[in-house]
Amino acid sequence: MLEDKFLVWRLRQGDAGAMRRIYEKYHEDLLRLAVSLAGQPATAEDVVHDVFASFIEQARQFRLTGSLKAYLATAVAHRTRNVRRTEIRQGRWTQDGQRSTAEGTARPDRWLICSEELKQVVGALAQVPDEQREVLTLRLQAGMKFREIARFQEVPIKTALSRYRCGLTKVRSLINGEVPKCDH
Amino acid sequence: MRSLKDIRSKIAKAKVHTDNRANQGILEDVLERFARTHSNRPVGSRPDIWRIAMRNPMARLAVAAAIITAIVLGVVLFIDTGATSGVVWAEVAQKVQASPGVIYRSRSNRSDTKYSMHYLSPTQNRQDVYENGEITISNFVDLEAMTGSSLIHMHKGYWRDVPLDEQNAHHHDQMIDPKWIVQSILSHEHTKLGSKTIEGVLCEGLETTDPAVLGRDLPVPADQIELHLQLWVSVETNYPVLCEGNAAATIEGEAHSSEWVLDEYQWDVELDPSLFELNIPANYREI
Repeated sequence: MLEDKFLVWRLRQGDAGAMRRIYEKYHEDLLRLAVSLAGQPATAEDVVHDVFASFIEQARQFRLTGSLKAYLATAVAHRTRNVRRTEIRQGRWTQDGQRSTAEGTARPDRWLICSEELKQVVGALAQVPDEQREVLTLRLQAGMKFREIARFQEVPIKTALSRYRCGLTKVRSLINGEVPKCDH
Repeated sequence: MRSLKDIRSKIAKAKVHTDNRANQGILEDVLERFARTHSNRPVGSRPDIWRIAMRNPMARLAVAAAIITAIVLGVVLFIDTGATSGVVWAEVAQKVQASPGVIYRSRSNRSDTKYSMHYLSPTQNRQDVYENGEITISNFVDLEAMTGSSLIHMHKGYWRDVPLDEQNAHHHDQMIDPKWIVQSILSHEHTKLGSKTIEGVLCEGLETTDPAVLGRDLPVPADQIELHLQLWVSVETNYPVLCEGNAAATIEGEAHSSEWVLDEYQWDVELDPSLFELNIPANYREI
């Protein structure tokens, strides 16, 4: 975290080396988070690219008050949520939360390469409600505190904890080939 | 049947990779956007010291000076205590370990205009960086709380109580953990240099040329670094008096070299706790 503080300081001075380091340090973590949240590599790639572009715009005024990784992760979650809502409005998602096959086709210029394990995780996460998926991924992949996640979701911390437990139980059931039991 | 712990681990550790070519393209786009956004930024406002420290790979060797001190001090544990030697090396190691506080100066490339003063206690460290006679940065590390604070005098700024991440914590553990030093030094060869008088003090020295003594996280593989590191110890007090070294390496086709000197040691001192207090001037802004 001390390194991040230095990096942000250098970034605000216009040091491109700091931008490069931040990108290299976090882009894979952010891509993993984005694909876990969005369910689609193409969407995840766009989201992370946009988050970096937006971060650059704010770099000169940016002040780091917590963890840089948590800040960027929150930005990814916000953007993914917005993209998903837009796509739902445009009818690119089916009633049961699945994206249409044509939209999910791999692009030739693929940036993100998912491991088989991640594909399985993404497949299970896609079947839990958005708010539970957010808590699970922000906690387990971005390392955010429940207090921070609750603030992001604008809910009491107990609600965030409940979503986490319920989501985790559902994902376990799905990966184990069982019928999910949590009703939340 | 997977447990909840397994599932947590699976979600947390599932890997992604990126296509190198596509990744390079995205990075170039990001940097280009950054350059456009900051193109009207005056170059003169950039923080030279930190930029130099972070971007020059060989400077990282100089930054490792504090580690080197600890390592070199550890070297003495494994020197034989031959009858011809005036320095009792085993005693040196014991005295160094027992010293409640130490003060020393470090310089890179034998600069007379830029140097750092270091104040090390078992629980706190302080480093004051001077340039052209003026103090430019003061760094404070609380080894118990594992936090770092800095006063950036040249920009009238500060940050305080920043948690040290794992890498930093490990770095500091290594610096102060005699067990780590012992393990590291056991595998490094060294030679005796005989005696010479330094600032009127009769000393005996030894030298290592094994780059592995610099530790991990080097900018190039250790076998690509040419290193000479010398330690000189007072025959009378058995305390180190001078540590000097130089390193050279070719990094990405470009030759780099660095020299550093650690001297003006004051051993066995009780450091005033106020030395480690972060007193932020009223006109400094949080960075």
